[in-house]
Amino acid sequence: MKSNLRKPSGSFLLRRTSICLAISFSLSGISVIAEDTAEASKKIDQLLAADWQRDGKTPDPAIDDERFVRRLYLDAIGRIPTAAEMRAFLADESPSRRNDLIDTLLDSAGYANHMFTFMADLLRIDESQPGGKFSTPAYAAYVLEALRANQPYDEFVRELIVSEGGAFGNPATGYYYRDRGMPLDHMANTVRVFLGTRVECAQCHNHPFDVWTQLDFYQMAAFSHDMTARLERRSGPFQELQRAINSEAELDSLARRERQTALVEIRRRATTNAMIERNSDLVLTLPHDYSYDDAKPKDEVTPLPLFGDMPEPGNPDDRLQHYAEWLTAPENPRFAKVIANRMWKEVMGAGLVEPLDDFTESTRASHPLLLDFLEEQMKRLKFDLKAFQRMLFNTELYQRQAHGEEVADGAKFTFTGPLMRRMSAEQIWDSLVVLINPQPEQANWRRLAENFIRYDWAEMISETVRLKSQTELRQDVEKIADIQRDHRKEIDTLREAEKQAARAGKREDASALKEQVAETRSDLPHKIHREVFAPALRKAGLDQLAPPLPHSVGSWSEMADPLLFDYSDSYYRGVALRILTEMELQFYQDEMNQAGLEDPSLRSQYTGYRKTNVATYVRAAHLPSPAPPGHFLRQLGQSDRKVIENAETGANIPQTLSLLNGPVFDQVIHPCSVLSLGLRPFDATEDRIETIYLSLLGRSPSEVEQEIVLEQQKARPDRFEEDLIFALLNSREFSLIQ
Amino acid sequence: MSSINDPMKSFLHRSDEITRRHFANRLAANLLGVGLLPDLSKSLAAAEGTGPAAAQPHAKRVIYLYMTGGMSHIDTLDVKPGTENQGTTKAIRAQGADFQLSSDLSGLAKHGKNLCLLRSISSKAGAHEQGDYLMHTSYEPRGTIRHAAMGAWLVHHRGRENLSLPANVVIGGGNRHPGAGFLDRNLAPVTIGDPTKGLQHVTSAVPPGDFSARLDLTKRLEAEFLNQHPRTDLRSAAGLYDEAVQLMSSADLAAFDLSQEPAEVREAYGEDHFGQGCLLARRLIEKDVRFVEVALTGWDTHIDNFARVAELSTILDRGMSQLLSDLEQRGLLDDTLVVLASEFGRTPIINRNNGRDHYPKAFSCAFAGGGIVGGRTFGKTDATGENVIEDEVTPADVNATIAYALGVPWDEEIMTPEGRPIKPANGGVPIRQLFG
Repeated sequence: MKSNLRKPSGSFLLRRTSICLAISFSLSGISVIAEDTAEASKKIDQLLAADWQRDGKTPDPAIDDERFVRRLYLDAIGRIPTAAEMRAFLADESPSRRNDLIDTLLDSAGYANHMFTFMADLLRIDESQPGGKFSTPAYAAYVLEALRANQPYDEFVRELIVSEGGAFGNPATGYYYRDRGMPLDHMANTVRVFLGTRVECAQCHNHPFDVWTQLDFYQMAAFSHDMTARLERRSGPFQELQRAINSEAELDSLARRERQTALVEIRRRATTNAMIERNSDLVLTLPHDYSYDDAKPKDEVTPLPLFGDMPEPGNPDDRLQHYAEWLTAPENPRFAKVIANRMWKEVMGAGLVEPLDDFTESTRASHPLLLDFLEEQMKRLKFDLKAFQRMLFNTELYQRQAHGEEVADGAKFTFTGPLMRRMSAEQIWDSLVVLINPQPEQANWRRLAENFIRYDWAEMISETVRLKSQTELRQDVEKIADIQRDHRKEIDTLREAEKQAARAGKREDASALKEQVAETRSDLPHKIHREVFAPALRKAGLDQLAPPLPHSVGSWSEMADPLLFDYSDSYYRGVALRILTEMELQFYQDEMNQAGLEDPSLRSQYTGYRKTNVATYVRAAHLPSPAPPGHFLRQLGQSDRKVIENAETGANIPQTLSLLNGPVFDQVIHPCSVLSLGLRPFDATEDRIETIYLSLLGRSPSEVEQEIVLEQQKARPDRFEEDLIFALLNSREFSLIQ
Repeated sequence: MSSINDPMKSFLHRSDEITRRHFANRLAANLLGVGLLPDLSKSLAAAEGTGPAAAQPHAKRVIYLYMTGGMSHIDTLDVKPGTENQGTTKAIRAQGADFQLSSDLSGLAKHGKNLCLLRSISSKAGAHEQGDYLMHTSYEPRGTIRHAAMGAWLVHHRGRENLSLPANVVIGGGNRHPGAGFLDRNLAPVTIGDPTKGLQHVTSAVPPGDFSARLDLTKRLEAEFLNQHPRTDLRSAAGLYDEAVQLMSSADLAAFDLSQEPAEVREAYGEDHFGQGCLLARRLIEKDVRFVEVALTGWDTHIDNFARVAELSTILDRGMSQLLSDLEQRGLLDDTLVVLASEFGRTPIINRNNGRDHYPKAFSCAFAGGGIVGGRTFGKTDATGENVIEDEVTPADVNATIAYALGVPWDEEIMTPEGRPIKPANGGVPIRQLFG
């Protein structure tokens, strides 16, 4: 076999490990656009100042460093800072410290983890959708990687729109797969997400409040209605082989049956791929009850953009390309404006146009000049969302006190400061993770390993099979048939011996033999793997690939040869995961040593604590999307990702009960938590109280608060710290972005 | 509360009063803090009065028994004794009724006088997800909107009767349950995985003394912050703690504790999750919980239909018949509607794996209590069980019937926050003939 075996490019491993296991902040130095950004930031403040002057408003006061750090951590990387991170910043006396922190955070791993919530809510990334397991994990990994690499937004959208093929190979097809079987809804969603325009009403009738007609909608839908989804069982050249075996004259019936059984072993390693294909036979027609004068029921519809022009929209070969370019063009009057307004809301708490996705002909922004300017900047920055956010974070507006007063219904929000708001479900969860997990930005490597084994590994084996010639496959069939025949013989011999032992009354021998039979039986798939598939993988040069490890601790070759594991067998999947767990232990040793943890009792608890939490208390971006129903994230209002932007920030009883009595609190106060270990260097009560305040609320306690806590200490000297942590976790202030 | 611009204003003008309030509430929720207070929906419903489509309410509560996977109609509620399609399923006569049931439903057969069988449901949704969604919401699943299930509609329109317990509960339901859809999230069902374990996080992990010391500290520390930020939404969110603590100490919470039932009662319902779920449903209904759904999974019998349906029917029969007996004995059957439903039926023609495949073209469900007249059937399939030949109805009609029984205005439009008009039963029509 040639070594032209392609590595699956929709791979979790290849995409994810390189990214997410890197934890240290990469300090990329000064951004090339720094100067332009600073000017643009100033311009935003000037535009707002003119507006305040006209409305007779005064800006809210600027915030101090403490407030700034917590707010920026939440808005840039989606979590609160640790006490150590707070103190490091507060000790920095450089005049450019705020600017530097903005750059550091935007270039850190937390950025993509935070932005994933935004994208997943927009795109409705839903692993629980039917057949989703073949498409969605790869799609989610793809989106996360695009964010990490800060791929320009317009380019990213074009990749989604023109995506064709399988989830393995082209994971962007997850975009179409999400709406499989619903091409009309798919177009309504696309237009709503990227153009901020509601056309779904026009699916069934002319839009009652906007200009869109049903015909407009159908013409737009005609661009992608023929993108069809199906699950492809990658059968490879098996049918030919099957026929050959069935028709070979020299095989007797036993030999034929043996070979058919052997073929099953090869066939069951074929993987399933979620395919998106253009079916040019599909023609979009108007509904049978179409009732307007501009066309007749059941008329064939040819693609035409909702507005503007496009070269030859009807040409089927270039259709997707033209549609993608039209959608994302700087000239498109909605594309840049909508994403600029969305990002503004992400940072400032309210949009200049609300709702974010109901732009109409008569829409007027609360600050029209400002929105025009933001749109212009979005284009100037070539849809670099990170640079755009950098510009917003550097405004004076962003660094003013958050506006906490209620704004009356119908009143214009004047942006004399950003809007105070409750954190998203993900921000609350991720902030709790920071108090527990010392590597909060680390990927959920157990999930990566599971996904690797389940999908990438299976795909690689499948690929070695697909690349084999008929002759080679036929040789494999013979080899497997031999193994199976030998195996049967071995079993028969053992069972015969067992029977004889039993007859002779040698009970111990008999039971030992019985065990041996069971062992031999369960070893069969592994033996086949070892002798047929592992050599093929090795020959293809895939022995470098193995399930991802936590950071760079140890290597597979020290523990076992990953190629010898038959991951198609649940037993060996389990063994492989156990080996990974062993390696994890080494990693915890390193963590303890780095943290200078010497107390033997803590050391003995540390590993257990981390092992239990390593796959649970990780950032929301590394849990299934969405988290399963009943998960704390869902109680906090995480979107179910069934419809666009379905997250909520309301309080409710189950959420309140979870915080009061759920398992999170015990993890936060565990002696090995980040919070507890962070308290260890401090002996004085005041220092400890201050550290707890810094860890949870990002500020020092007021005098009144200090007094209350000291009273609590008098009443409950052994428990007052836990009481305080409980009180702050359950406070309104904890979950606010101030 | 947030920046309200022209488009939103115009939206508010064009939508009706309910929507406007609903939307305002949603805005409040999105901004900071608090959703509808639990009893607000009740006062809302009272303020709206009854719309033109509102019906005379009979029932107050629902127990919805949902057979996940597609219950074979021909082997349970719509038997065809003596036909080739029937396979090995036997039929028995129901007591005090003019119909037959599968012999594996002998307990239900004794409740013949209470049961009304609906044998003429037909739909086009032949996949689990679609069928499930259609049965629960009356709508086809769409990528652009999430519709609400009946439990949420009921609490939305008629409010809660017991203010300390959740009004809408799903026991053993799948992840796919549409819940409150676009309605307020506080109307979403509380899900219980294992009925024997009850409600999550309602007991404190620390001794009561510690717990109150902590709560007390929370309040004292927060007082300053709340004074500095005099916002109603923050105060309401803080108020939820009082409510949560109230729930924790509520005597009604014992309703979730099945261990308070005598062993023989627990046994009579069946030790399985479904049986215990039925028992929990009864206990919750006794405390005026509005809507309890109990799921029994495993009805997707493509292979080996007869053995599996017999097994499932035994579980269903034990739990449901005991439930009906208990409700009847306690005088609760008059105002509690019990529904037995599934996403579709199964092919009357037996497949080569001795199984039956998905069949939405003709299937059945059963009603009891809540003003339903028992001992009768409504609708009919042909001799083979393949086609509806009399009184064909849709899943939307089934939901309209449930809504009608409960006094929920089944035909009243509500605007989603996106301005899309939605009805509780998507234009379905109640089958009024089922009622006395």
